[in-house]
Amino acid sequence: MGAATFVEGEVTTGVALRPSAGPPRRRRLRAPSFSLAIPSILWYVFFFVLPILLIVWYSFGVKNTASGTSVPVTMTHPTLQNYRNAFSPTFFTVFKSTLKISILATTLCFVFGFPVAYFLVFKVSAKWKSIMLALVVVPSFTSFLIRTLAWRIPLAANGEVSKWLQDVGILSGPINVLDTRTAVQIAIIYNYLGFMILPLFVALDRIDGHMREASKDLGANRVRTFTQVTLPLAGPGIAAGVLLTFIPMCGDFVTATLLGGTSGNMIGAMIDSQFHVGQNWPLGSAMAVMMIGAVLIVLGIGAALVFGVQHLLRRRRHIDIRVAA
Amino acid sequence: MTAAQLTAPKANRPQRDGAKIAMAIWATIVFTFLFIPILLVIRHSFNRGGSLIVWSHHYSTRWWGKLFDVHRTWNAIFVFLIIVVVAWVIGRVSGVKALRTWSIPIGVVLGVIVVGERTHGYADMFNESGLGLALRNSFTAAIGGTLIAVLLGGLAGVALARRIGPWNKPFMFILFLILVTPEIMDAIALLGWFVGVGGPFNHGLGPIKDGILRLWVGQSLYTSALVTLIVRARLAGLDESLEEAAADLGAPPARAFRQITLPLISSALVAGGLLSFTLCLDNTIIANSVSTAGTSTFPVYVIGSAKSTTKPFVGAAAVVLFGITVMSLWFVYSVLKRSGDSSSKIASTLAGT
Repeated sequence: MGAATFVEGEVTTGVALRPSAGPPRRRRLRAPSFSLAIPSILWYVFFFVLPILLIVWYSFGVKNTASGTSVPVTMTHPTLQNYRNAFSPTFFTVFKSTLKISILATTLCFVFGFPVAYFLVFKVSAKWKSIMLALVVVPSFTSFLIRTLAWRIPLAANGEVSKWLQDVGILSGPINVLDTRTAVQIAIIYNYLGFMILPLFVALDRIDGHMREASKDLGANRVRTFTQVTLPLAGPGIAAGVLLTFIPMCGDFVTATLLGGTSGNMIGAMIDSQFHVGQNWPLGSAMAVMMIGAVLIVLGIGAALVFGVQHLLRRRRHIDIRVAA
Repeated sequence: MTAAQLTAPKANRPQRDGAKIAMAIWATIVFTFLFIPILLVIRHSFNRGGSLIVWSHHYSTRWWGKLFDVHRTWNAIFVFLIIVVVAWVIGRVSGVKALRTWSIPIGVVLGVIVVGERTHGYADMFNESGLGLALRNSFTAAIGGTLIAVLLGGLAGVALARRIGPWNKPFMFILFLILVTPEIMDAIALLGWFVGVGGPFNHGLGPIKDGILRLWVGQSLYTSALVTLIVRARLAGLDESLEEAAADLGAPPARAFRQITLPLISSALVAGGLLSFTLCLDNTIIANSVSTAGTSTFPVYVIGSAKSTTKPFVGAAAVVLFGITVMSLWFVYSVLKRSGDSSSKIASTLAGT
């Protein structure tokens, strides 16, 4: 008996080997473990899944602000009218500009953030790595709202930056970006840059240094090592970074509310105002459902592009090796 | 030959690395960019003029005085620190190991309670009662949201790491959905749900206001998913032999959980909890949607104030919150570091990947 226990103890040292442990004991140990997830499951069903299904349901409803109803929606005659309204030019331009802002901002976050992540991982000593990581994390995790509002200071037409740029002679008149799309674009890049750098850092840091060394030993120069070893291995991190920035950007309403004025509106702000100002919940719900759809479509196209390019590259490389052999 | 090839790249290293210098300059620019608004807010909280946005070119602490009742605030901080220090000293002197480990958390909790009692729930600390109420609501909401997140996330994280079953994938999928769903979707969905379901979410639960309950639920969603992943990651690195040994020695599951699993995940719970706390304090979109009159949090107050002139005392409050966030992030870092995480692992925890 004692020997058997010992053998099983040996076997269970590796995570992958765990299924080979004796079945009777596993049942005894794990039966309570599963029940531990039940509170979470109930919580998420009740406060995440059902509320979102309710929004989908509301999106087919009719606005009803008659007094006496707590929810300003009538569901007696489900209709597609809200979706038709959401596709109307007034709202649809905001949709398009939101996607444009978000796609451009995600791209620029990647372009600006990748060198920083690369620098942190490969070019800095361990001690400086932690410090510089803190310089990325600290601003990203503090008062999102105040940081956004603070962009009104340097971007103001009569502010110090504007005066300085005019004194130096870069600009002939005051900067005029506040309450426009440009201001939203700048601040949104700023707000999400940290959330792009972090996953890129993680992905680059996980790359086995030997792979890069092997590439160099096999005669690849730095550029080739970067494009054919480092960049593909960082793929998951790039995907995570894109997800972590693009999706919240599409739903962001703080930046547009504080800096966008009337010309820099975004979907998030529009949905929010349908719920809190216009009291048109069905239209707001339909916009929210469309927003999720649009996000999924853009991400799908992006993923398809990446896979397509990868496929082409792999085919070319495959031929290279054959020729060499 | 191999030796020569192995040393070759090293010999190249000391050369001047143009790319490295360029990247260093770029990183400096990016770090500056990231800190510009924060530094501006710190400066403008000392603005003598009447707006947070327009700099008057004169420094003054008058807005700090407008926000805080200086005498009572210092008094409160002083009492709090004394309680923490006394608890720490008692923990050191007592020689009881449990007291020693937990002296500072116990001191902090005691301090929070005692100071809260002395200052009428911290209301006395503020001259500007509207903003003071918003700050107090923020903390009430963040503490509740964090406790729910730690409880749910701790349990679910253990279940995910320790049970390999058909439920793992759907559950992970829900977690993934929660992490990537745009916050505005959660915000309106919860608003519709709370108004529709009613009950405690419209009338409150005993002394707890309806808006606070809504905030607790709303802020616990994302953070509990995050804590779940952190706990799962912590346990995934440890095999089950300790728990099995406890079971072999006859410990009932509850006892094995308390004496083996809980200590194993304690660092993950502390780090996840602190991270949740900072995220809750910062939460804007859900809070703006679900909070009710009288339960607005600090971000909701700021959104409201931005419609007219934002006063510099908003900046002063933001600087205080900034300090609290930096401290808790530092705690997250040191807790994770002490439990053996590399900086990469810590970054991955923070990014929720």
